[in-house]
Amino acid sequence: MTGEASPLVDALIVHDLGKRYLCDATPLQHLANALLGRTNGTPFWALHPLTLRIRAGEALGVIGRNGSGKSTLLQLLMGTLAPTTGSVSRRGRVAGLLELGAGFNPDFTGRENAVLNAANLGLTPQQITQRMPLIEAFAQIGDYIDRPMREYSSGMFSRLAFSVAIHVDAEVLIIDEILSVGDAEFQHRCRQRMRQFHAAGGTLVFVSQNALEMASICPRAIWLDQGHLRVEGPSDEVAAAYRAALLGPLRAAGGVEAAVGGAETITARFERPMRVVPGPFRPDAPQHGAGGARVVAAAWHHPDGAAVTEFEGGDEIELRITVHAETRLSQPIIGFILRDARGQNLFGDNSFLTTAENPPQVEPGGLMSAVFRFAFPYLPRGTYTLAPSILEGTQADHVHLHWMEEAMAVEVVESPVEFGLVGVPMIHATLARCD
Amino acid sequence: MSSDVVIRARGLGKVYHRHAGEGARLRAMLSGGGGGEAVRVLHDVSFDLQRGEALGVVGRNGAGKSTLLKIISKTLTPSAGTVEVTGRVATLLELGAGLHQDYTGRENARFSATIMGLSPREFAGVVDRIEAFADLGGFFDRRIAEYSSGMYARLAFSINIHCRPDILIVDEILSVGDIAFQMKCLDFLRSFCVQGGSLLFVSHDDAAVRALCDRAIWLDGGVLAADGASDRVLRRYHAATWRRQSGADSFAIQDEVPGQPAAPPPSVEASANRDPDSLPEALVPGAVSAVELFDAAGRQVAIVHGGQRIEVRVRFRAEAALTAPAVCLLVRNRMAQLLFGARSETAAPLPAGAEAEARFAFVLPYMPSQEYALAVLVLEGGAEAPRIVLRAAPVLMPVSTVHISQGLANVRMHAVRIECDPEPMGA
Repeated sequence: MTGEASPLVDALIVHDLGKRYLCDATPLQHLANALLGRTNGTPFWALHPLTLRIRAGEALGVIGRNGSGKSTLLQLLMGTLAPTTGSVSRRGRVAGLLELGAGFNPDFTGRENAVLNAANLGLTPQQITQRMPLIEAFAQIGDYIDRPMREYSSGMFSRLAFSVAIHVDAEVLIIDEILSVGDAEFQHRCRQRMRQFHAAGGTLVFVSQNALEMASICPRAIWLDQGHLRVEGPSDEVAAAYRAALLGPLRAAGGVEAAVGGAETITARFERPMRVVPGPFRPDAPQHGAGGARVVAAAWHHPDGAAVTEFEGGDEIELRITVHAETRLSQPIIGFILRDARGQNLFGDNSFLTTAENPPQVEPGGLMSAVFRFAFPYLPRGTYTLAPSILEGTQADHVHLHWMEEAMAVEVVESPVEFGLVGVPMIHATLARCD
Repeated sequence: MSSDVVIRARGLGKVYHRHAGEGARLRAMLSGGGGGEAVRVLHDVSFDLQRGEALGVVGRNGAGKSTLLKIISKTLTPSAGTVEVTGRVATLLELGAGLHQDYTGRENARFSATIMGLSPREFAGVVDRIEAFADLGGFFDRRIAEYSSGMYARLAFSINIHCRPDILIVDEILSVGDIAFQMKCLDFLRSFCVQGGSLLFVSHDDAAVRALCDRAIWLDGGVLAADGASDRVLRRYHAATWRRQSGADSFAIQDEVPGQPAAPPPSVEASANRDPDSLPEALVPGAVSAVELFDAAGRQVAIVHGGQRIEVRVRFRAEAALTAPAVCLLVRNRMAQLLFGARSETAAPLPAGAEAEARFAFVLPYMPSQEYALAVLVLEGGAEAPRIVLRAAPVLMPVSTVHISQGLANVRMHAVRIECDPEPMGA
């Protein structure tokens, strides 16, 4: 809060902003106090006064546990809640997606609410008429747009609310974690839109429980703790401090060790062996894809190239996945996932990083293989399945050309792993009396 | 077998009538007819839910999931079909539905418990547990108008699970809690089903559905599009989503291997193989005093990394003599699934009151970056007749993994290479 920033480049100036509630013992007392205009009761600060500048074009993350004051802060920023102390200066139009239901009347239809919201945010009737088709298209709630919002599911609610917020030419967008009620496809579109909005110079305030997601969108973050601003700074540092504080007993004299250790080469093994027997490649396995290339083989080899019919846990092994191009491939990515019997992803990888600098060009009719070499991990006894795939594009934006499920059964016929989803061999596991 | 069916839905349908205006709506209501334009939100949905079963419900927003749950929980009347429900149903539908803004958490708990049929005496017996599980700090006695969405979810969940339901309906609500609470809920839901409770679980979180439910149904445009093993149902749902997104007509989906019946999914118990947590208990006085993380150089650390060699040190003191003590370390993910664990060597007998330390050194798998729970059990009786003598409350282990990984325990590739064969395939 150096004060050197010019107001011209600040989107939000938060000065000494606080919110206090008076805690009443019973609803009756609450009513009595309201009627008599009394302000007795136990004061409770949902948000202790804080000062903050959010520059235009900045993306600020807000993190904290449930009840830490995040929602209160957002409501104050939006102006839907009156502060007890301090003020918020807003430069430009502030739109947002807060708690479910905030700013919407359940008895009005989605369309009516959208119009009211847009009008409240200062759009002209002409602009609103122009935007409605866009709002409808992004929300994708079909005929529900003309139903009263009380009939909406929580997912439909957030679809409409988000869609309105991004179509009102807002300079500042405030998004609470409520996005998590949308389905995967919608969440993906929302994140894309938030990135686009930010890239185009918009100011973003984003609340998330997921410190990593937050850090991927916002360079700067604040951490609220019991209504206090605990830390403000670069997202990764704030996220690290937040996580360290969640530790309780693990918080230690040694402090936070942040250095990333290099890949360990120690390869501990269990005393008893784990035997793996891969099955044949099944071209008729469940599959989908846009077409253009096809996975035609998957096979296991020793690093010296010899084919294997059986290997052991901890063995260095190669998995070769071969695809046949039906059209010209300019950015092909070959990948695989190994799943357990419940369909949970255990491990996998793809060739994107290997070829990102110089993607291979594969002509129609050509063959391409990716060979993955790794130490096969220990797993409990059971049947695992291999899902190989050929994609085109980049890691973040790609098309499934051909994706196979259960293209190969991988049987672990014997294993020393007695519990858990995977086995982690111990380098040592000692127990001794302290003296 | 049929006596084990707790929900029997047959041909459920729901139609709303859209009217030109409020006048038309009123006229239609008064004349008792539907009229207006009919909007079909649910059509001919039939399924059974068995005692002890966890059924996932998946589908896009607006696919009819909420409507179906509202019909089952009797907050909405179906336009067609029947649903028979056996037992007490607790629902966690929309955020905070059924909670009253102007009352405190405690008062809401009392109302909800009364509605669910608990006597005042029964309520008095569980209210402390409701407060403890919700873990709202001082907020339990504050008006819930002051709650954040996460606090709502915690309160609603805690109230409902403590009213001894036979069937729990959970809609997405878990996604707003923090990780520690999420873990607690999933742990609860899993043991709820093992003890014979039935669960209807709506979620957009695939990992949660896979981890919790053997079976799932997929609703698409109000119609039951699939019913079967969770894995297969999710797969069909996602393949359809991909087709919708890419808009490709050439998209081919082949769901099952021709001529091969789908294998039944393994039950939750079978895949949880031999979780040491379920070993017999014979608790003795004492405590686990420390669970600490160290790096390979012996420095204590707060955050560990995928691929790093770490050592977990566990200190405990039992106030009873142990003849063949061992320590078990268990690592659980946010779905409360046992990811991996280890058992120490069996140590020499320990006299009562002696302090002991176990050290587990291993290379951490490339686990997705998030918090994990470290649970510790002190065992007695050697490998032949192990029993739990001390338990420690789980501590969080934050893992940060730079390596991109979506798997539960990824491995690092030692090499990836591409080989291209420019020659056309031999005909």
